[in-house]
Amino acid sequence: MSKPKLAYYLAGGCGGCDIAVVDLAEALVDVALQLDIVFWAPTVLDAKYKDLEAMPDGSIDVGLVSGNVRNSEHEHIVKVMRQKCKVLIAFGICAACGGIKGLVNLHTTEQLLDKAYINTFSTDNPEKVLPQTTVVVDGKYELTLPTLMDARPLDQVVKVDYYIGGCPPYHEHIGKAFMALLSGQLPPSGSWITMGKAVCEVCDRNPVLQGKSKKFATTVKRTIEGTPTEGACILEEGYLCLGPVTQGDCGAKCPSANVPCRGCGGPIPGVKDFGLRAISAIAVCLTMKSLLNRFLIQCICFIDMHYQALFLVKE
Amino acid sequence: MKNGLDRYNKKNNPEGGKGMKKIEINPMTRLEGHGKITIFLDEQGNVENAFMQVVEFMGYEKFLIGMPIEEVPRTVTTICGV
Repeated sequence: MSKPKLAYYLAGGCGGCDIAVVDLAEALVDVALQLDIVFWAPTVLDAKYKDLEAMPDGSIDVGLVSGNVRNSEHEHIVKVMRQKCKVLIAFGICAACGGIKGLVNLHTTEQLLDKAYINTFSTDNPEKVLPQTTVVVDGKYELTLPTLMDARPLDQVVKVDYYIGGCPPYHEHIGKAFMALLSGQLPPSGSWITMGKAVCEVCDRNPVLQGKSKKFATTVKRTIEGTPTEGACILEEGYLCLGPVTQGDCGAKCPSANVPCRGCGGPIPGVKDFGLRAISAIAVCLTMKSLLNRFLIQCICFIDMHYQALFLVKE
Repeated sequence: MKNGLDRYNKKNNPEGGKGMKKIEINPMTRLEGHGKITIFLDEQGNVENAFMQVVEFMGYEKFLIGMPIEEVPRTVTTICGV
């Protein structure tokens, strides 16, 4: 029997998801031996887009895409990936929901280019030259660039079979996901590959897991205004933590390092409006109505971190 | 001083680039980020000119403005995750 074929494409991401796969370490050897990696660009293999385009349709068993769709080149290659792959997975929170890079949608392309190429203190560009999709150098060398677009998660461009959250996905979770793929034990198409538990359910700081009862927060603080007490629930102390509504496949790594969860794992199953759920989950943990004012001001900036929440602002 | 940008005009010269072969290496690999190399060969097949382009634009310069300072460290680490 031939080995299952795998393709991996990094669209508008940072390469952190690629590194998370490499973080499988010894487990990667077991996984790699069972797979035939036919395309992994631009990060790992020396494969070109035309190699992918030349492959027969449906010839690749599993395709992973990390990063969101930000320009015409990403859009084209993602569509090619869909044609060539039997199963397509949005790998990491940028591909699944938009991610941190999805924050560009708060501004227009003109505003972003203006800041990056003209109006920064250290930029010297008196002629206000901006990137062009086509430029001819010395009257004969024609060069092209892709067209910039709003950032979109993968499922707004092509049909997606599975989603894996995380920024980046936690390597133990990736190992489990690969093993599930190889053994064919997959959930129904269109679902997240997750153990289905929230960060709070796997967090050592959760008082309920220690047999204590949950306390309400009597204050609301930013992490620059204090440090969470070692071992105590971050949310109880008044720091805003997205643990209650976020998938905990990471094993609550941020709270264990005294950092509040920022929701990169993706919404827990059944949650579509992540921003609104986060606000209501945290609001019920507060003792006084007056704390809401301080909470909501912070919420705007804090929930912005998550692209899904941006739908609240945009729609 | 003559500005170097004069080389880059958007008007195509119909005579320009005649008989020239263009090779595109896309993407540049084994790195994070997206780049491509375009090589122009003359009629004899020798390299006449070559260009390297970074085809990606993110926009962190703009969306970091107004973000709470405590959120910035974990945000800017996604400029490059390698």
